[in-house]
Amino acid sequence: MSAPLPPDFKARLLAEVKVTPAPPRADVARKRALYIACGFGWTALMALVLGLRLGSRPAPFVIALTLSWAVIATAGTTFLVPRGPSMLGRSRASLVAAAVATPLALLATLGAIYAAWPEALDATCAPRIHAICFGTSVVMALGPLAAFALVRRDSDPVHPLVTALALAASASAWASFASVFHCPFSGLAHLLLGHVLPVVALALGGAWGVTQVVALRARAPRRERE
Amino acid sequence: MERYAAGDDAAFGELYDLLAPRLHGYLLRQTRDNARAEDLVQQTLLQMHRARGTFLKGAEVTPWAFAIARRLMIDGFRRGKREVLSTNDEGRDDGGMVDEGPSADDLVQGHQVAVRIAFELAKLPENQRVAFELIKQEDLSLAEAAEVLGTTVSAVKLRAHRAYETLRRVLGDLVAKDRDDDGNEGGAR
Repeated sequence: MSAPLPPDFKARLLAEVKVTPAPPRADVARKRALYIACGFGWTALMALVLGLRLGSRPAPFVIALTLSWAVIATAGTTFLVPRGPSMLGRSRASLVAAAVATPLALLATLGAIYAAWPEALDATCAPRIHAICFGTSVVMALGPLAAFALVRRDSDPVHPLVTALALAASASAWASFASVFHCPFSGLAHLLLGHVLPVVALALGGAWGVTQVVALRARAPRRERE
Repeated sequence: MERYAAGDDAAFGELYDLLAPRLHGYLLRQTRDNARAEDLVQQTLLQMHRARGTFLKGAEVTPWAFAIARRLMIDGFRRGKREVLSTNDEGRDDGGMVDEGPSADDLVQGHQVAVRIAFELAKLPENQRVAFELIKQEDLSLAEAAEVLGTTVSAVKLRAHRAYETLRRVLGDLVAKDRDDDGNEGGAR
């Protein structure tokens, strides 16, 4: 089965290309930097508004938790947000692995930190505090989530859902990190329900919405739209 | 693509020459609708044009182009804007497609073989058929086909191999007949 393209096809396409805007690399980079700045700005602003509250937590506990979760969030973002060496993004397996590894890594560091400060393990709080921190973490994650989605907008023709899952997990890791500052409760149940569970919930819940943004969509040529 | 992404507008013509015929052949085989295939080639290249600013230095262009084309085609089918082809369309109009061949006998025999292969290919599971077509018909490497399909090299290899084995089994009579007719090793190609 073969058929050559019509002789005037190339000329028509080149004419279409001339009238279709395509931002150059510098513009794309500038726009992406703006998205990232706004996304993280949102989280930072919330963290500033909520303030730093140590409560009964030992200061080294807070520092260790903050630093280790910052490392995890940074590593996740560095790996998951860029496409890697291919225009088709990272492989499905590596994206799934990274998305699953993010909450597991938060949990693992939490375990290690509790081993160093076992007294922090027993702190208790009312169940509604779990819900408040859960909600705060989700809201804090919305900034980075939107930024990551916009950075990868219209870019994934192969596995947008998996990419979205990974981006959402990465964004919510930042919220977990930022929420450590204002939350004075260090009990295991609270950190699990209020600060690690949102990563899982947002990854699963946010994936659908982010998929709609990162998935490559057909757009009608300019003259058909007009 | 690298030159085009860096701002050399004239490079798009070269990109077109490199990709458009291959994309068109692939899309035509997938859609069996010339107008649809042309639309998709146009959409694919326009999409690449829009994304020129995001192109990664050193990235492969061909798998990207095929993946975009495949995604746009699947989305189009899902939206139901165009009629999806049936697997049994031997008698239908080819919408202006041109067969190339020097003699009437060769043309008829070649056409029969091509129709039979296309018919058997269409009966394969989609993942096997697409893997087979990307590798055997579009000359993509295993790694490139794996990227287009968002899977691993070994999975693509396995799918293409299964497709090949199935085709070899079901087209065995064609090969045998060809051998009887010619008295040589000429097979179904």
